[in-house]
Amino acid sequence: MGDISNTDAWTGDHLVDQGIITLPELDEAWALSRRWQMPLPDVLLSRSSVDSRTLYRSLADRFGLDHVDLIDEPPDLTLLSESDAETYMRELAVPWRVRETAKGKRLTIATARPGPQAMLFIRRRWGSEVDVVITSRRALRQAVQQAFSQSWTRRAIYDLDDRDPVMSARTVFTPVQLLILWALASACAIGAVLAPIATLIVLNALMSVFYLGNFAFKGLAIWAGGVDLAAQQREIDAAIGLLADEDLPVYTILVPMFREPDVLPILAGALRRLDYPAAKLDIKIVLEEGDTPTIDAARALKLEEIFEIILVPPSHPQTKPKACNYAFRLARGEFCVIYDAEDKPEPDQLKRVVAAFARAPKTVACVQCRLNYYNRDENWLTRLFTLDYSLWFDLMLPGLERMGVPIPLGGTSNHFRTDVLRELHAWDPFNVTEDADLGIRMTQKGYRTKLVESTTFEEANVSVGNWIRQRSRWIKGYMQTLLVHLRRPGDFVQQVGPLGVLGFVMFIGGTMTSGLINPVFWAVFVVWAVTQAAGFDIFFPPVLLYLSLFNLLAGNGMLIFLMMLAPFRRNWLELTAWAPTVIGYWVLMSIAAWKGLFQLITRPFYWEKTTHGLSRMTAIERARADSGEGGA
Amino acid sequence: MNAHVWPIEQVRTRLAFPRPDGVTTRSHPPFLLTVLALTSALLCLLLWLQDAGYASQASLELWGQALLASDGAVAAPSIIAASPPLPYFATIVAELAIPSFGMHILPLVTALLFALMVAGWLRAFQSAHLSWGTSITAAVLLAANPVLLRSLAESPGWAGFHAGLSMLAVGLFNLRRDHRITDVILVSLSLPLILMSQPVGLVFVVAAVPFIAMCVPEAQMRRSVTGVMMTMLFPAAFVLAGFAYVNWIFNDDAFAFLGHFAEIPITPPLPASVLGLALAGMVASAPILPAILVRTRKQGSLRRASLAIGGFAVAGAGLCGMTQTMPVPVQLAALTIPLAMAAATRWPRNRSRSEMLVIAMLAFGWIGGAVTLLKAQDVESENLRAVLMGRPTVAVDGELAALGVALQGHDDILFDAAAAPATIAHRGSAHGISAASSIRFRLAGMRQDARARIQVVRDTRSIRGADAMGRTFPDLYERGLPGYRLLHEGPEWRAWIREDQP
Repeated sequence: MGDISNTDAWTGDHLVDQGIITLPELDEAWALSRRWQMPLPDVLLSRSSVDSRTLYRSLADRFGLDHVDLIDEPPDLTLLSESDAETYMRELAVPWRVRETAKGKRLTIATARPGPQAMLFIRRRWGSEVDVVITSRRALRQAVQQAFSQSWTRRAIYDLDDRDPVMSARTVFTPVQLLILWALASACAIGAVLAPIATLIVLNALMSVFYLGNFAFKGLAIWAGGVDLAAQQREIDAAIGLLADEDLPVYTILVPMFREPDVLPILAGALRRLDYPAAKLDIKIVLEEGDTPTIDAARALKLEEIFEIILVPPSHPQTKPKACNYAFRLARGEFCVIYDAEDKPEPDQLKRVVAAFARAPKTVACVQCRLNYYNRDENWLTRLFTLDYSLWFDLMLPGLERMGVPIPLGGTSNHFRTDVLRELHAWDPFNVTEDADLGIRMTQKGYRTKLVESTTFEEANVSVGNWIRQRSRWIKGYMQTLLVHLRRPGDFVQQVGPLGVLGFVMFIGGTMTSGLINPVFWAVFVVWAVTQAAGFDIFFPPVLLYLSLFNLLAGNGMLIFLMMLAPFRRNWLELTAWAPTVIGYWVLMSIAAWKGLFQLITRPFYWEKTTHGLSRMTAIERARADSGEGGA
Repeated sequence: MNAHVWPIEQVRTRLAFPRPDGVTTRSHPPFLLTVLALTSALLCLLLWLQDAGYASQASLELWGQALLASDGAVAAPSIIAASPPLPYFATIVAELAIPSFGMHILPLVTALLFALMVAGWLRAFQSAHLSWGTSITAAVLLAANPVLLRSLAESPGWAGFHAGLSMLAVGLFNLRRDHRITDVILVSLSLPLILMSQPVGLVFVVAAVPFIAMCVPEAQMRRSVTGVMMTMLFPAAFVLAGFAYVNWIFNDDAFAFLGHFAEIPITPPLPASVLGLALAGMVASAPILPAILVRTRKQGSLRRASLAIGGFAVAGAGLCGMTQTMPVPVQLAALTIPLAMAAATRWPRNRSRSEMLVIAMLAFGWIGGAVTLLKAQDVESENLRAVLMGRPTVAVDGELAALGVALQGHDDILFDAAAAPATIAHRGSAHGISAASSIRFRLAGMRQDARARIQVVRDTRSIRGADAMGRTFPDLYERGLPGYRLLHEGPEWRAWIREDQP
């Protein structure tokens, strides 16, 4: 553990002398500063021992420099260079204005890091003939952001498309894909005219084989994922025990929000409960500029300095990935994670992830934590949604990881190595399941995803309409992802391997395809069962009939059985009895799939917003957060 | 300090502790060789037995059913609704794939199921961290146990049954220990496998229920008994319901697949001595099962699982006795071999010679199995011993053999062959047979005109009652038709042939 720097020692003494903080507060802050290996001002601000304006004004007094608020008095834009923006942010120093002084016109540099190190940097960068003023870190960052917001907005939207257009969903269908779709449609049409029965039999057979493959692959993944994960958990537990606070890097947390003022206090509470040195947290609440209610609610909360409110300028497409891309430019953490507004990560999640990254090979660029719901018992839909998520995150994803299949990332709680995310041009703003797409893209670029036993609890959708909106967006995004990554099938096979392609097609393609074609088979079955009509017999020659019957019985039985297995890992066995009702859930899934397909054609980049805060549990949580209570 | 550089290499070095036991993966190439060697040995033995004249009644019936299906003598719906489906479908698929193999398909199917089972055994030994030498020796001793070989020689269905029991036993032993989902899957899927392999599987599935409940971790039972048991039993229940549905839509009788149980009322009650003999054979063939009860007396969780496994074996045998569905004692003895395998994986090994003790007990089991087979009184065991010693065998059902031979070389035969499929196996082909589900048979019934070249009919006073021919043409057995003479006359069956036929 290093000793405290001279600058920090002077700063601390000065703040006590000025009566801004007390001696015990200083002692405590010094202890944390040594333990975390973070500067004293950062520690004081993260603990709200002092407010930003008072601290920086006091530091200006201490160093005999002027204090300026860069929000009220922004820098001269002609002095700023976009290519240096990252340096401004990292060194917390920015050219402010050219001022008339007794010595003539002199450049004035604003810094939020007064001290010898900053002076050294300023002299090296701008020479010794400069004046220096003090500003707050928040103001400096906000000023830089405002200076480049137009350009950053453009890059947030088009960076991936400009640099790696094949990976961008901006083009929904490529000409080759349209040609293939046209050829398939024409073949079906010609077949329907020339040999309608044979054509329908072939289509029927293809769909039956697809169903069979889908069941088999899911079963295999669950088997592979059903192993004992306790050993892995113990390993990470032991690694956390060996991690000292000084080992922990700065961690960026992005929380994109839109029209969600009600859940803000819950989120702030959950993030405050994270077991991580507060001064090493770089939390960015990402809001849309026009979303006044949420902006007002965020400002009213008077959040600590570790929370930074980023306002994303209005532009299209208005999607979460675009907002994240914009905010990500300001990320200063070694790692970066996204949480949704209503998320409640387990307190030790960040440490577990750091330990996992430290133990993992360098090719691991992302750690995905599990997602589940805190309001699972609220109604039928939340129970089924919980079963669905438990199956996916607790069984299926560990299976995919073991099988080496590319993992489509879940919406939140995916932790990235910031440098790799930058290298990959972050999220695709045109893809409405940007997370799933990024997971596949990462695998294609030679990186891997690792799963870690830590859960983020979210609010399960309580209303059917809201659920369909959300799921239709997911399925539309899966369609976009499928179209993007199958543009160069040869390369894709080479990059992720045959098993990877199979897994991708089964999980990304399978989800949407089964959602789309299920209603057709259900309708055939219901009509046949009710009327016993022999009209369908010609479309089901014996072998196909057996296969279809097997799919109907064994396949559906197996899917229900898998749903029953889902709650075992968490011992939420009271949900098991609901598993047979999953058929109703599949009906909703099909509705969402068709809606997703319709939107893919009509509004491919439209972001179907999921409304959060509808749950009774959320209301209770909100009340608790307002009253200052914690709890998970 | 914002330009903080995370010392990843430093942290990486600090956290690079060795992986704990159980995480490392071991690979043992001899395992694959062991599976291949044991499977090849079994296949050779079964083929040699068949060529030497050993053919069990069950295998003859299965082969006859397969011939009826592959020759198109029975309607497709009858095939799909047939029970038990696993050996039936496996044989049909194999027969369609390699038709030139003839009845040798059956040992091939048995060997395939056996290979999967032995691979599973070795995997279980590997997971239990048994040394590879012990694992291979144990696998050889178990796989070569005479009662198991006798069981496998009878029909591929028993191979599936043993595979199911192996899954069930391993799953039950591990349920309390590991909390792995794979163990829940093993237990749940073992039940439909048992159910689909043998008609008596249903009895064993029912017998297993309380013992599964006994092995489920208490935390899960406290949380939701319904949830746990529903998951464990769902696949079996779904298979039963699925079969009922298929039988309902194709046979108009949801419970037609339970036809094997129709003979329960006509089966004479078993003397208690048979059950006693079976239990003695079970203990002799798997002494490790009672031994593990003693050895784990101070290990609550393991003892509970051991009690459950032993209890399941006894309850299964008892329930078979009570429901008059009991296989011959030597078959029941063979059912303990998979259970012994699971016990070997969980035998407490806190002493240096524990693995030797496991091997010793399996060796005793081998001797016990040999004695059980030597003392077995059933016809199939006697035939097996006769073949091994070079003596002639006797047909289990001589009448069906004679009927099959009589039908050779003829066609245009109206015959409810599904009621006596062994006849078809003796005949060697189902060509020219119009079985009860065929259109030819149904038209004959509608027209009340049985004028085929040959009509085969069972005595309506037979203990099994009339067959489809007898029900359609009630006087046929007694009187025949004008212009027909008897081709075959036995205690239960008659075959009438047109007089102008040779």
